[in-house]
Amino acid sequence: MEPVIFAVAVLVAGLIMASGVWVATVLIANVARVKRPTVSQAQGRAAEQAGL
Amino acid sequence: MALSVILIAGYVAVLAFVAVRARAAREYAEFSLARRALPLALIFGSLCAAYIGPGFSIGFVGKGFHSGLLFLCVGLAYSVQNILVGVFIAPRLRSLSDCHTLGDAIGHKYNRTCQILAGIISVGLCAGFAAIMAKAAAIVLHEVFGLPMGFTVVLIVLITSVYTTFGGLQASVMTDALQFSLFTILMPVIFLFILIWRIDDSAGTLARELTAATSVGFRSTSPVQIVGLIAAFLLGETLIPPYANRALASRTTSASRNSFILAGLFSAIWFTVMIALGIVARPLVAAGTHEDHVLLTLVKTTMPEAGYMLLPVALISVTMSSLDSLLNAGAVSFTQDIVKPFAMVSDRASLLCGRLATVAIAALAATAAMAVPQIITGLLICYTIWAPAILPVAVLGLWLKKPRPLAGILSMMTGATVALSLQFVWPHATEVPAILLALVAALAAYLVGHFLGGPMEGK
Repeated sequence: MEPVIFAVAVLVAGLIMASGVWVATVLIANVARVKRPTVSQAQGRAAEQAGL
Repeated sequence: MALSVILIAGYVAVLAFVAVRARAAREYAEFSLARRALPLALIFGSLCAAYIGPGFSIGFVGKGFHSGLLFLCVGLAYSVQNILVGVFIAPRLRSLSDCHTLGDAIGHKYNRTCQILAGIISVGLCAGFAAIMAKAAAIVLHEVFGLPMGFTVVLIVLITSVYTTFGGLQASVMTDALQFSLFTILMPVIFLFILIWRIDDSAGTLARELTAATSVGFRSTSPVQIVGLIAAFLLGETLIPPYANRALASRTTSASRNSFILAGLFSAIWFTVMIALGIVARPLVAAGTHEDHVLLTLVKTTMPEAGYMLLPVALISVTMSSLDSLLNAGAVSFTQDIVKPFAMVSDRASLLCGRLATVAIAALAATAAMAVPQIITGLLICYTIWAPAILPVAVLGLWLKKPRPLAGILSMMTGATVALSLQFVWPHATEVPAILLALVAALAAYLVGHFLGGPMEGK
């Protein structure tokens, strides 16, 4: 019983850390990618919103 | 002390870098919903960072210390709630493509009056929650660095409101993701370090203390109290404005659904580690320690100085990520649900209104923070008002084919009135939890309104 409790404690701690690493990876990718839209992209989006 | 200042300064610098990279919102759609372009991982991280506040970290460690697994059982109600929202509510909410807030969705399903009522409740609740978060973060800074409470409240609210005011939801979500990554790595490291290196016979001690604390917890809590706690955790935070905004801002319907389901599963393992931290603290921290001080005392007595100095970083992350979400959600709700129904507002004016509302709610929260008596008490008051006032209207509105406006108005007014009365006018009127009584009253009022009222005009 005791080793099982210990293993569960380590497993859940590991799962939490893995979640943090996953989100950090996606965040870094997004931070590297985020940039202002170009004029043509902005015009395209405006046309899309206007239903053209 | 110098090390802690360097760590905090480094943390603020990274936070500022991410906020700047998220860039200032240039349109209202960007400020309110980040153009509905957020991927699953960021929505998931931001959701978890928003709900893990001081209550779900410092509070749960204290509960684990005093009552063992009791609060894990209670906390699982919260996990179930998130999964249910993911399966049944979030996809329906996300499919309302022209809605910016939960109040907007209610207005879409009922009428403008319902939207304004939902907006008033949403803004009030966000300000209340924000005041509690500001107070919690200020307590951490006050206890670790000895700074005056008033100064720490202003400092925390000022830093958070700057990036939320300019960056809107995009900045809020991206900084939340950073903060989530920080505390999800730091807190398990602290737990494993103490478990493996600071406790003799760690597995045996964990098992013994777990059994002892849990039996004390169940003996000292009545079944009615347990039912009340489960009800508060199951319903109290369901679809509060920051979560609803994240459901609406996700890139796709499936991202919206899956982020809530994953956040529910994550909450179960997070609660397990926080409760386990409280249990491993039992042989190391004096038995009479106040539950809000167990985590700080544990880390101070067991970790090397560098480790102890990481704790304020983790705890400030925990609270700031909740605070920024609440400021943004309150501001968007004010603009969308209270201002826009009365006037045709241009996109530029909406963006300005959202920014000014962020500053106003931040100022209100900073002022009210000084009057917050206890963190958990404040949270329970907010839960008790939110669930009866909004949940029946929101959930039934999303599922019924033709919801009636009268039902929405009666339910929100009855739920809010009964909850406020039981909280402030007759707090000892009954042993039944106020949240359940107010919810039953709101549902009854909804039924009456549904059968007496006509359908929405123009539908």
